[in-house]
Amino acid sequence: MKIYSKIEKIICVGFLYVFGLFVFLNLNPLYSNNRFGKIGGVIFLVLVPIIVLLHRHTKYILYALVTLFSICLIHNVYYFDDFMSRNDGNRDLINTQSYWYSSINQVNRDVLIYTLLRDKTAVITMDSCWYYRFIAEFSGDVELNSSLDPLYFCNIDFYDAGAIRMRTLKDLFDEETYRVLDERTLNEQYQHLYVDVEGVAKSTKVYVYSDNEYNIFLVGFNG
Amino acid sequence: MGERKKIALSIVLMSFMVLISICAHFFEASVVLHDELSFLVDSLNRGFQIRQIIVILCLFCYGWIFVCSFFDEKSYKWVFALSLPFSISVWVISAHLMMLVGFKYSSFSICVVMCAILCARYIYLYLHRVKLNFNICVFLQCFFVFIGVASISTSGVLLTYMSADSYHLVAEYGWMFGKHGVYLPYMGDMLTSTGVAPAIISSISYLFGFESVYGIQYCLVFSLVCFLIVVSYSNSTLASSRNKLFVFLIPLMVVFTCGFFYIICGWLISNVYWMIYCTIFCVILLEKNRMFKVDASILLALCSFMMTLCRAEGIIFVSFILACMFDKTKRIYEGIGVMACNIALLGALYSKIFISFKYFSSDFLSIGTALIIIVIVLAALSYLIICQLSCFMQKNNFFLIKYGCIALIPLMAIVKLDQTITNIKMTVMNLGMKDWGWTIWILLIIIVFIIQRGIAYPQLYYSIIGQVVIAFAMNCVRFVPLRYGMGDSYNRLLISIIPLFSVWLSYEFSSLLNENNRHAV
Repeated sequence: MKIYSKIEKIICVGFLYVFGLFVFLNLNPLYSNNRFGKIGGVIFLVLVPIIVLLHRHTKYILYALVTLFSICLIHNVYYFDDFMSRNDGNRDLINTQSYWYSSINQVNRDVLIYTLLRDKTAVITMDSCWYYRFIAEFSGDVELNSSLDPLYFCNIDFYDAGAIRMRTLKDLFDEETYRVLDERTLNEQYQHLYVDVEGVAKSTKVYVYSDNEYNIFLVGFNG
Repeated sequence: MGERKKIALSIVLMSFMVLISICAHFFEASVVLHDELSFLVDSLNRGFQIRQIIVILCLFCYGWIFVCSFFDEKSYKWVFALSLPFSISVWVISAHLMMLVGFKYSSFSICVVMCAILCARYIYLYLHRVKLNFNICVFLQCFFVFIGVASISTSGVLLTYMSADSYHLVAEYGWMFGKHGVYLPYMGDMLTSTGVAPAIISSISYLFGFESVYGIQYCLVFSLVCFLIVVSYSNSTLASSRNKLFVFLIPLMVVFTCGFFYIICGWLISNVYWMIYCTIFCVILLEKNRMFKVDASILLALCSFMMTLCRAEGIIFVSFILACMFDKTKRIYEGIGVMACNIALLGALYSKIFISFKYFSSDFLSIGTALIIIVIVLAALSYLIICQLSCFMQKNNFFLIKYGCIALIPLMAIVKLDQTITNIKMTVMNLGMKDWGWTIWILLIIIVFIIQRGIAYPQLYYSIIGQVVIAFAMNCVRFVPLRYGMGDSYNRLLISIIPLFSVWLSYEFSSLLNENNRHAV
């Protein structure tokens, strides 16, 4: 009985450790590229529960599990390496920045509108009335201006800050505008944010201008 | 070790963590691409980290004073872990009620209301002659440690992730709440799409002049990890220190082996808050007679309110968990009271949306859905009352819960067969993704192992499995099916149950290793 018990312990704990080795080698049957890894992974995934089920010695199983978990932590190294280099399939989840305030993300710039307009007066030109409520929510103050000449913007060197997606803010757009923005987002035709960096930095008033493609231009007022 | 030495040690620990965050600051500043826009954004955002750290520390101090009134002197570990979650819950619920009744929510008004709540609590304790215990040395130790934690959380060492929902439903509506201080009719789409709690937490950034609450979120995650450690360590009655260490390690390992857990912790979305408050709620329900020196119904109610406000369908889970945790030997009236308050809270929100705002065009919460939710919750409340009144049921036997959950999926398949099949397919594919790592496989093995030896804590087990099944059933009848990808809503909900699962494992292993005290069902 004693010998049987020892053999049982060795088999059980041994299986768990071999399972741990598979984890270590990152041979998960569902996403391993190695054929033998896949087969081996499936066998162990079937065998380990059976062994665990039959085994009587809780303590050894538990020790083996702790070791197994420790080995599983190694998986995270593979995982993060993969996650950081991923640029497809997770369009909705963006690794925005490792340092929130400094890095400039080129995918989604919605927060930047708030950052740039937070303490400033936004002057909205007539052709960009479609986002009046949107801008009004995120700027310090808001004014409407019908007299601004679009040619005013011709000589400005704009900085393309990246794409913006305003689709989910249904409350802040009229029905027609929302439908257009929704359609554009579904077709991945994101509108861009262009910033007159020097002008915005110097001025407390910022002109908000739009074109036919629903792009947004922020221009500092220096008049 | 003397008190002075402990304080000195905590100061050293704090200095070490602050040093790390300062180094991270300079390192990031040197590696990040510097262009003209970066310089502009930098200049506009100067001082944001410091402001966020100050807010976190103020919330921590408030939480400490509030939570320590529920515990005795020796339970400072619990107080440390629960301070920030409960101060935030008091904030959110006060803000929500203020905006609901049209009382302007601003930094000043919320601070006044929170101070009034704290005073009321201490006057109540004074009148009931409960001895107050506030150990300044212990508080200082914990405070210094938390300064370090807050500086690391806000430093940018830990990654932050945002999806479209994080930008719009959490961050931007948070700024709108902060700016207007009331619920406005044109916010109807947001109010019917998701819970308001994440946006209210995000509004803190607007009120105190910084941009995002990512540091607060990481501090909450830190509190959750501390809570898991405290729970697993204190529930164990094992004599052997080796076994104790083992029971203490298991929940942490379950959580940290899952790669997706790291992502969700840095993702500014409601699931993190759900994960934290759901875990605390279940543990308080299970342990309230052992943990607290005084009646803890207030903490229970605060947690349940947060769960109700975190997700549009959150109250269904609250009522289900209460039904699972029912035990006639404990005071069920508390549970009934908590649920009644939740129904009143939700009823007030619904009446604001549908009667005051006359908003009916949501994709998720229509009048019909709201009525269904109210009916489900009332059914759960009736179940609790019947169980309490019935002289035949001395103990929760899980009959209804077990077979109700089993019947739910086929029922959904009858209602929407195609969507149910798609959802099953997508769930299996999502669980097989790299994001989950080996967690699911190992958890399945452990479940087999525990079931084979008898479940010692069926109330926790059924509340976890029930949440999984109910969430799946709800996804079967919603407008859009589940999708393949890490950001799928059901996938996110599953990861937010993992910490609760790890608590259950800790309890089970503690019971397994302590065979003499075993009370398997």
